[in-house]
Amino acid sequence: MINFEEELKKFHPSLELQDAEEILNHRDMTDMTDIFFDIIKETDEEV
Amino acid sequence: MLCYQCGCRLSELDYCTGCGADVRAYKRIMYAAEYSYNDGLERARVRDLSGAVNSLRQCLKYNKQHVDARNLLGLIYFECGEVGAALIEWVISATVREEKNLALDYMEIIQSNQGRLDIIRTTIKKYNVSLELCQKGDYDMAIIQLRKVLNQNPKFVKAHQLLGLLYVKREEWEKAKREFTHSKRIDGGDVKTLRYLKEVEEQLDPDDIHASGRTKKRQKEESAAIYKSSGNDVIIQPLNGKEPLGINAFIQIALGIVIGLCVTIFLITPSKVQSAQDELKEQISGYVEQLDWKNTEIVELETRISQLEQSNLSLQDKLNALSGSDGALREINELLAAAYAALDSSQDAMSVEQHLGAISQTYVEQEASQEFLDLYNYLRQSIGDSVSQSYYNSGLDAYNRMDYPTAITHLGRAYQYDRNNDDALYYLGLAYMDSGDVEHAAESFNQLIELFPNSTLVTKAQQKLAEIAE
Repeated sequence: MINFEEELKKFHPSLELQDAEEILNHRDMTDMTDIFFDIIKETDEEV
Repeated sequence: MLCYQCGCRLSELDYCTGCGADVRAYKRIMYAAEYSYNDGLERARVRDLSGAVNSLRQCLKYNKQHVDARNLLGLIYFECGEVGAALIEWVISATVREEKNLALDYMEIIQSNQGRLDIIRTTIKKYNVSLELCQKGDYDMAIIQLRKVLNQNPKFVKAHQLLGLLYVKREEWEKAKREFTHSKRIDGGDVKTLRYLKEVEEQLDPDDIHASGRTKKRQKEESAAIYKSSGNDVIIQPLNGKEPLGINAFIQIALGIVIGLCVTIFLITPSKVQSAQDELKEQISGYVEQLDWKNTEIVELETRISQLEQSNLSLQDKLNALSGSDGALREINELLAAAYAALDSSQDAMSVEQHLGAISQTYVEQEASQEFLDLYNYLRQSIGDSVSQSYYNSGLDAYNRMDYPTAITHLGRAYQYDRNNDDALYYLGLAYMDSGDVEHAAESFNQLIELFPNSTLVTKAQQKLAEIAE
């Protein structure tokens, strides 16, 4: 059975267009390759 | 795949043949990213958009430079109505590759249609407002707002889900099912939608023995009827209704006919007759009005005719006065003829006199204009002497022949044309006296004595007067 209040909590506001720029500036763009390069760099420094 | 260190194309070996860098882990990360991208692409093709989003995000976590994955992710967000999230992905994609990038085309398409962009912006705001209304408990207003949002942006998955949830709250199962079905058509893999839809179908399923009281009532109704949904309406078609048969049907039909006839006779027909009568009365009054107007016009025209006839008669009289045998036109014509005869060298003075003699003395004395008199007197003066002498001679001949009337006429004219001709006056008197008209004779003699006192004929005139007196 659907619990309305519980399900309602799962709904979040949709991203408005004027907020897109702010989101973009604060987004963390780190991916696996960045982590990989950091590891390589640390390894080279240790060596 | 290129080496992360020197940019050389990598082979199947675990090290770069260009710089010797260990690329085993790097290659595994890249392969994982590609695998996730392919999975996301497959899911997107079968409309499992939620699953595609997860796979594509995974791909970007491995490799943020994957332009295709980012473009596809933006496209999926746009398809679900999340335009803000779509633009973010496309902007990032454009920074990674600035040329020959589909993301640039997508953004240009959206920004070129400013009207559509404004609508999208508005729908997102309204959705957020609806969510706040739901959290405050104002569900009716939230439903109204969400309907407006979906009118303008029918592919907004979240709005469908929230509206469906509100219908579930109000136990409007069919409407809820409709919303979740819409949502499923857009994103077939959304777990939330699938779960809601399953719950709602369980509520609507008549075989479910654990259904609530409201649905049990619906079960009773459904057993005797077929339910069809049409938009917001539910059509219930009963199955077990029996039609009346035999004599009952005949009686009902006959009764219906009788009622219909009664209604026609007592309600419809009188009103139609009345309206027809009113129309006729109106027409008749219109005709009567026209008739009155025509009669008035006729009277006016008759009056006008009589006025014109009188005017015509008056003008005719004037015309006759001018152009008749005694009219002024005749006198003027005679004067003109006399003037012409005077100018014409082939005609003599008698010709002029003939025309002047035809002019009425009454007209000359009473009606003639000054110009007429001037010409008339001038002509008389110009022919006076010769005409007078001529008339004197003929008058004297007539007297000697004892033709006294002719003598009187000619001698009278002779004097008329020459007022100094005392001989003509004397013999005129003699002609009157010998013709027996002693009165005119005495008048002539007295005139001679008065006007010509030095004349040699005065003594003779006095003698004649003495004879008359005796």
